[in-house]
Amino acid sequence: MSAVIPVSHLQTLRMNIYRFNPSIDDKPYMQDIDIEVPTDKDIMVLDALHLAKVKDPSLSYRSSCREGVCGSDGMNINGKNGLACIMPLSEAIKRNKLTLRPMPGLPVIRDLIVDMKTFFDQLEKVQPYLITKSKNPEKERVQSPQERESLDGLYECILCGCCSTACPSFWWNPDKFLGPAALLQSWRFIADSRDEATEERLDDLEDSFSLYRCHGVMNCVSVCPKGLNPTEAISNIRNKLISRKGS
Amino acid sequence: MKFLESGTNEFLIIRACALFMFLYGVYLIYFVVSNPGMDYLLWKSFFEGLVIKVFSTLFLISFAVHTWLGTWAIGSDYFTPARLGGFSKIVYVSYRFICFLIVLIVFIWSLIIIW
Amino acid sequence: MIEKDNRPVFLNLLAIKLPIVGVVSILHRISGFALFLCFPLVVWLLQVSLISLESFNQLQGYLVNSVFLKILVVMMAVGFIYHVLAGLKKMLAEFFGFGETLKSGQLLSWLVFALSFTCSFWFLVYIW
Repeated sequence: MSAVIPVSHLQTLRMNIYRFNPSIDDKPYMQDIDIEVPTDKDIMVLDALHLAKVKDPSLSYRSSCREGVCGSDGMNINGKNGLACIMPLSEAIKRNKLTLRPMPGLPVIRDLIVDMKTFFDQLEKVQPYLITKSKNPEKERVQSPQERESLDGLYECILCGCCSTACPSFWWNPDKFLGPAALLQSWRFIADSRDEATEERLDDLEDSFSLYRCHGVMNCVSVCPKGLNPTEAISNIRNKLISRKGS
Repeated sequence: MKFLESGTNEFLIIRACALFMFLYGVYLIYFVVSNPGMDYLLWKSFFEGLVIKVFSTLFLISFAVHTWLGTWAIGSDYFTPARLGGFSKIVYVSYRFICFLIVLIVFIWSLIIIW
Repeated sequence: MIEKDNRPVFLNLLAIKLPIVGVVSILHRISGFALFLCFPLVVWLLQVSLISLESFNQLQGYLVNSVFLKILVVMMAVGFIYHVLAGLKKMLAEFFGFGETLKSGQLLSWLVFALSFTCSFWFLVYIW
């Protein structure tokens, strides 16, 4: 994205950005940066950040693919979590102001960059990979199109963290409650016809914290940039946990 | 304790108690609404029946279990070391103690009134 | 030895948007806890109403005349009505799968508010 745009098609946008540099600042603060955005194009929040960085090169944020598949640029945009690269300004801006803050609940490394360690620790606990006990077949573990369909809405997760960092239960107990992202992945493998560790996966979720801290707040569904539904996935796991109690 | 360590059991018990309390409440409301201008004698005789006494006692047990588990969920969300640091243990224990007192008072007192 | 983490965390609840389903959920928790605290009062009212004819009549008199007592009773009733309706919504989602998509969750949330308001209004009229 070029920083040189014909002046007649520009308007000023005020950005209000969360700043924190551990080597300089005692505590975080909000900084106003005014940028010129085109009026004839609907650019993304990430583009606006790039423009802000031209004004203040010390501004730090994560980004990579710029097309909503890597999950690097999750942040809190005007109060709601989202992916900066696929959030158009028309959707993001409120009252001609764009307030950007890091994803809630996670320690801030610098500016809009957070430490995703607890997020990934929880993901690791659900063993997000296929677990098989039977002998490996000659070619591949066969799966019918219908069985593959049941993974739709689950495999697309890019682990951006928007959901878990929007979840109050995850804020209060990020080390004990697994959070929507990890639980969605747990269901992704429980639902996978090729996985052979369903009982063990369910056993790991029986305690009162790992899954049962979900109270149906549905912030996760509201913020997911890929349109996924962790609430539904958690509900599916819970139904399996309950129905196997009866047997 | 092993029984309650299961989140599934806890989940089902809270909801079973909730449903039971709801049915009790509906019954009570039905009685009050279907007897407008009810006098003392009718009200007193309602609670004198053995069925109501047993029903009410079960309600009290449901109340105790439901609120004990419910308030536990609240406490374990907000009174954690991550949020309160060193004070968390004492705050959490005090909170549980107060909850216990309230449950006890309601339970014993109501039993006395009912029976 | 784990070092204490001094890094800041963004958790300004006033700056974070809470969608309607979240509002229903937190109010469900608040109303539940408030009802729990009010229950000794309910038990006391029950005792007063049952112990003797005089106290029953006295209580009835207070209910009719005291605005304070009326407000108190209405507030407890509103809390109870809301907590039950929000609880039913929750169980509808948990056991029957209704209200687990964003749209249906939002719809049921508005329904809970509408029904709570209506029932509370009925109760208010009934008791006044």
